[in-house]
Amino acid sequence: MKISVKQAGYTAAAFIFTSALLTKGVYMYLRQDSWVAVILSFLVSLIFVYIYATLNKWFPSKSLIEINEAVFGKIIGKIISAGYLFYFFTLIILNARDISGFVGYILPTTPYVVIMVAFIYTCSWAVRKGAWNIASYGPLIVFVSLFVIMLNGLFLINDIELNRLAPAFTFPPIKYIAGTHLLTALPLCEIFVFFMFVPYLQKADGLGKVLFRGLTVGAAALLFIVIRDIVILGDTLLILSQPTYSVIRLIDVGDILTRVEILYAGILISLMFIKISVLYYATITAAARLVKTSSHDYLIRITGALAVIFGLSVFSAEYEHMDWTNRAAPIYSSFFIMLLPLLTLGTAAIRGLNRKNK
Amino acid sequence: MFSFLMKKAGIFLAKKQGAEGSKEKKEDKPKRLSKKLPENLSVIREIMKGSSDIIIREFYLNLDRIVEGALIMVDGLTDDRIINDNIIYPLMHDARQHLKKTGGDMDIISHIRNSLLSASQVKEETDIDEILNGFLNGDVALLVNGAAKALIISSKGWEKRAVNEPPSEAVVRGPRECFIENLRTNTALIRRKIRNPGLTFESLTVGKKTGTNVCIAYIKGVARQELIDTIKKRLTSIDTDAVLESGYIEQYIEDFPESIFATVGFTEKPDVAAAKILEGRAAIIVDGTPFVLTVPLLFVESFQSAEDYYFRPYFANMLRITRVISYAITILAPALYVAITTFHQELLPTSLLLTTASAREGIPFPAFLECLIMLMTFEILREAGVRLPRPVGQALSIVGALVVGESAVSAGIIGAPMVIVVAITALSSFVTPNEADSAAVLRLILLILGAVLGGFGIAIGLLGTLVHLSSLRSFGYPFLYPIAPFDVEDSKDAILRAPLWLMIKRPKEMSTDIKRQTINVPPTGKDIKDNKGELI
Repeated sequence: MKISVKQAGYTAAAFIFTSALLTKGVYMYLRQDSWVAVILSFLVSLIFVYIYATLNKWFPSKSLIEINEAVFGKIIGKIISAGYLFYFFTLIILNARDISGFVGYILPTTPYVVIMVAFIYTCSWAVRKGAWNIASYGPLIVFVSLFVIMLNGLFLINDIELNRLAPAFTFPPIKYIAGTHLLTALPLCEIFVFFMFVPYLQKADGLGKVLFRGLTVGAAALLFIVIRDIVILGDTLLILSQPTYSVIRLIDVGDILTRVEILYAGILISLMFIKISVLYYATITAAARLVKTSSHDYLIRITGALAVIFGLSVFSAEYEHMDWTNRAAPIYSSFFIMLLPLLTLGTAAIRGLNRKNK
Repeated sequence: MFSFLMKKAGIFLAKKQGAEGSKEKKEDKPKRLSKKLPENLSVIREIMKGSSDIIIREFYLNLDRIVEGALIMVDGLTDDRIINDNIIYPLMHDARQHLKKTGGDMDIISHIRNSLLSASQVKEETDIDEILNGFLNGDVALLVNGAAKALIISSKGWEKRAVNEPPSEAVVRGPRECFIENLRTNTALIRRKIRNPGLTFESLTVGKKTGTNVCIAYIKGVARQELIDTIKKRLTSIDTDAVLESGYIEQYIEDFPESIFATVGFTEKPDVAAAKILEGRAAIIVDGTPFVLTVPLLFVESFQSAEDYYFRPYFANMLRITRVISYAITILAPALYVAITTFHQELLPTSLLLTTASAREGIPFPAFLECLIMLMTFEILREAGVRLPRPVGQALSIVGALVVGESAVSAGIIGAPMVIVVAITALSSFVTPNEADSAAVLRLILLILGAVLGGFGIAIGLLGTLVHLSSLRSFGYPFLYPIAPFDVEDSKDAILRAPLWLMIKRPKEMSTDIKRQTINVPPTGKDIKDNKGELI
């Protein structure tokens, strides 16, 4: 069965939505002006989505690995594809680390290794069932999450102080650029990974629509969450390690509806599950296409084991992880999801591959 | 895990059978009747040797004792009145006149069939196996000397139960009839609901030794032909000795036998079967079973009841939501209780926390063990309650509820909150009877995950269940449809039910003729408004 544009689009939204719940990074740069970065990064991401869509139109129903080979030739194409494979794999590690950090926050006595193994194992199970399967329940999880987030916003209406958004536009421009770059490179343009889903889409050149839908829904949710966090928490944003979680902890409707943070924990785990499953799937298909094998089972096991090992040892402390996310990760990501696609598009245009395909 | 174990067991057994398979005898070619009656009778006597219920009635068709005949039947399966009045009487009395008039040079079997027998169904057979099959099914076989053909005359008439109220699908509103063990009564019950020439009952025989009759019911032009072909293919490929209940068929034809979730539905209400057939599904009726199978089955159907469509939509939707919540409670309540009391005490409001803590004070077991003991006790009580005679069963439930529950709490072995949790779990499991078996297994898995990893474990367990459910197919249809993949249009009758006049189409891809009714929304509201749309 092939994946419809709607299914893939909402699954892509889940991808962005996940990061929307871990928004600590952008607050570090822009505090009460973080919402500006969300809007700017949405606009910048639209440009990149257009680039990805163009590549997809030129090479319909082809995954990233095949496009690389078609554009750069066999050897260079394979080297670039290996780079992408490494990038997808590192994203699994970093996101698995994120979720382990969060679960470790709720279950302080449980060792990371248990959490990581349980989580990666469940994701590997999802990967084994295939892309269509992931895209079938992706929208369901997104709808439930959106509903919970909206409802949470409603329950917190009493704590909202709009003047916490003031003063606006007071930071130096470089901070706006840094914040926008962080949001563009980390959650928004990461939907680039859906390039690996192209062969399974109902419409061979439908990636543009998929990504546009995902980006719009995801960015809207991100904007809502960021504004809600700012107007409720104000300056305390900076001292809390999990601002969104802390916001939801404030919910107390007539002493009856309290401790709803369990819902937040539930949706974060579910969304992270979708995100890691998609990344895991992309890694497996990229590896399988690269080495031209059809035995996915071994690849799934090997990737899972490596993800657990690297996930546990990649950062020695939580602070190191945060520092990487805020400072190094955007640049690292930019290379793969901004620079390389541009380069691919440019080379394809120069080599006249667009015309040939048409 | 289950699939892995089953695959390994399957490979092991297949290998073993492969080694033994060569020893099996090959089946003989079909035996044909000969023209000599004594020879034919001795073959049948030899096959049925030792059976006291086989009756072979030999007679002459004319006074000259030239034409001999024999009737073969099974005592208890036939209607004596039909045999005496409509078969034996014409053959022994009227035949003399007829045979005199026509002389001896005609095809005697065709003559008997066309001019003498006053039975509704008569067919000619030449194969001995088919003849055996005929009288073992309750018909009478007529063999005549000089003819290499036999007549199978319909004369079924055995003891059967009356059509009464369905014991496991009782309703407040709606028809109170229920399928019974007799296949033809069941097909008639469906035919009475759907008086449409398109309604088709295709018959097959399954089970080498039992020769059980199985019937596929569907509406031509509504059900997809691919679905019917798949069902037929799966039914004909069943290679087993015995089919004693529709459960056998269900386990042979389901898409995922290793899953804890059933992907073939069952019902004992003719109105439910008819409604499903009208949606483009197919029903499989098995002789000897009051449970009719329906395919394909979607997960949401487990939360639906026939009454939902007979009540007005608001109340019906309330009931449906209650069923979904009950299912969530039955699989999650013990796991959540154990996870919260063991790992996440901070999630409970302070006063509730204090009450729970004081109730659990002095309990010697950890919450997980306590929960396992209570769940096990409940399962024992339930199983014993089902097996025991009804009056004793009721006494047992009182013993279970009062003595075990109350005394376990007062003795300080089990905490009072745990009794409440297990009681609500048990109660909720009866709300969705079709999913009760899967819920029992899922509950245990989630309980273990909750006890080991707390809320995270439960979340992992639920996500795993979601992955599994969305990977299931029922005859090619995604099991979780229309939830995953989500479909707005078909959600009109999933968790919530839209008013009947809004259900314009049948479920997508389930049917070739998708339109159910013409759009007339709302059907009667326009009567109370004038032409300008104002209230009169």
